[in-house]
Amino acid sequence: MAKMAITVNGTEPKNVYPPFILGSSAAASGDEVIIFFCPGGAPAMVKGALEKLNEQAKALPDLEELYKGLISLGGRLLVCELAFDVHDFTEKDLIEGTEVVGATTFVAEAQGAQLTFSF
Amino acid sequence: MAVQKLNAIGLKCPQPILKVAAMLPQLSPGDTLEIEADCGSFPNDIKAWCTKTGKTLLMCTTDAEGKHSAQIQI
Repeated sequence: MAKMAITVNGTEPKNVYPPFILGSSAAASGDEVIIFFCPGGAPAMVKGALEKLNEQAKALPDLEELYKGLISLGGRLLVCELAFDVHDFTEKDLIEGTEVVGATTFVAEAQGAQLTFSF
Repeated sequence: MAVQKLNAIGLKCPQPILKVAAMLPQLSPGDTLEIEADCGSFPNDIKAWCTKTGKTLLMCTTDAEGKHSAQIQI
């Protein structure tokens, strides 16, 4: 099975739906999936953010369902620790299943990924 | 050799496949899973999923209203 590594650097639907759609598809097929939220994308991992995105993009699949599916299949959601310096939220505000890491950790974890995307 | 059913009508890609993957732990080798879905990409997606995960796609048909019915063997 393959490894997929994705970086997210925005909070609009165009930034957040693709990693969850591609990531959950890959996880469902047995791939290892790591999604890294840069400070620009980290607000999408704050509690309530996925619900708001769902309201903005009603024609797209249910983002919260994709998130739950991805997590249950072993997908990992990494949030860059620099996000807390840039935004006014803390680790406690993040949704369940996220891990706060530094860039070096993500780069080490993404090593060997055959599929990489950036949104 | 149980037969289980999954209703994925109304779910959009890739949710039907996610539901299939989520059911896997409840299934044993040799079991059959019957899936109904109306997402347009489902026939190709279930074929790709079976190929990648080593499951057998027994059949996949589409009726006049666009409802897909697939059977896979675990």
